[in-house]
Amino acid sequence: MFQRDFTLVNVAEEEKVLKREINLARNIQMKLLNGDPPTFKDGEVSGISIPARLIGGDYYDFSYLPNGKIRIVIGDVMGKGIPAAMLMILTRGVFRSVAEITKGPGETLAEMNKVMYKDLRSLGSFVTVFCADWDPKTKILTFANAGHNLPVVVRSSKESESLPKTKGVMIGGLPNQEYPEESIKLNNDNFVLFYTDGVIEATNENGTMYREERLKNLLLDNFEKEIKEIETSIVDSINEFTKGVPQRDDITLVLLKVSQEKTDITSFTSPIIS
Amino acid sequence: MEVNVQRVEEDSVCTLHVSGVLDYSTMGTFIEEVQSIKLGIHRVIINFEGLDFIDSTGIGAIINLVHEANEKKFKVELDGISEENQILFSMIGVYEIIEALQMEG
Repeated sequence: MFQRDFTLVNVAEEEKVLKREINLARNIQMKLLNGDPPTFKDGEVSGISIPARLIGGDYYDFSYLPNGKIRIVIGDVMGKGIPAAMLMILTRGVFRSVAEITKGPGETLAEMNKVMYKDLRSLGSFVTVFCADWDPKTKILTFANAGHNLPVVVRSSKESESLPKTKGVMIGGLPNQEYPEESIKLNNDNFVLFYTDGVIEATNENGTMYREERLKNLLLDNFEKEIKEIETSIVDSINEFTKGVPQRDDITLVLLKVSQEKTDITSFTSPIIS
Repeated sequence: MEVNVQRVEEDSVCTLHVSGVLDYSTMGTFIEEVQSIKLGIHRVIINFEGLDFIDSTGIGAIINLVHEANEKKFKVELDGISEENQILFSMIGVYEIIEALQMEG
C-alpha cells in the first residue's frame, strides 16, 4: 500500500507544488477576466479586477449581441479566495452561454439563476450580478439587477447619481426569479461606473471605509478624463486612502463612457497632403 | 477583528446577539452558535444591534440559516439592524428570501 512520507522535505515540496498550482490558477483567472474589451462606435468600455488574495471571486464580462448592442455584466461571488474563484469561473461560463440566447438583461439574470440555483444552494453560496445592455445607436442603457450594488452614472462634473433601483434577489437566493428591467438615456461624455463592494468597503488604518460618497466625488473630479485615466484615478485613490492596509475584498471596476460623435477621418473629404 | 455571539434561549425562542464584525474571518464563531441551537426551538431572533460590519459571507450565513429554518420548520427574524445594513439587506434580497420562504413554510 502506498504511504506518504511526511518528512520536512516532502512538506516543503508539497507547498511548492501548491503555490505553483495557485499561481497557474491565478494566471487562468486573469486571462479569462482581462480579455480585450469590445470596441464600438461613439463609446468605450474598460474593466479591471484586483483580487484581495491571489485569486478572487469578482467577475466582469462583455458580450457582443447580434442586434448591435453590448451586454455588460459584473458580479461578486460570496466569499474569497479559491472557493470564490471556482464559482466565479462557473458564473462566467453560465453568463457566456445564456447571454447569446436571452433577449435582455432581465432574461439573462433569470436564466443564470435557473441554471445556477441548485448548485449554489447546495454549496450555501450566492452571486450578486448586475447586467446591462448598451445600445450605441440609441444611447440607451437597459439594465436589471440580481442583488448587486447600483452603478453610478456621471453626467457632468457636478452631477452624479446611482442608477434607478431595480428589484431582484441575488443569483442562488430563490428559485424561479424574475428580474425587471429599467432604462436610462446617456448623453455624450456621460459615463457609468459599475463596481463591486470591495471599492467602497476598502478600509484604512483607522478602520474608516472608502464609501460611496468619496467615490462619487472622485468621479465628478475626473469627469473630463479619458476612460483609462478614470479607471487609474479610482485605483490610485483607493491605494492612497488605504495606505498599504491589506485589501480585505476583491475590487472590480467596469466603465462605460459615451464619446462625442466624431467625423470619420478616413472619409473622402480628408485633405490630401502632398 | 472579532465577532461576539451571545445565545439566549427562553422556552422555544432563541436570540443570538451578534456584535463586532461578521465576515469571512469570523464566520466560524457564528456558525458554531447556530449549530448549538437546541431542538425544539421554534423561533430564532438574530439581533444585530452591536454589529459593526457584515460582508457577503456573513449575509450568506444568514441566508443559509433561513433556508435551514424553512426545512426544519422554525422561523428566523432579524432585529436591531442599522439603516445602512437595512439598505444592504434589501438590495441583496435578504428580506425577500425570508418573506418567500416563511410564507411557503
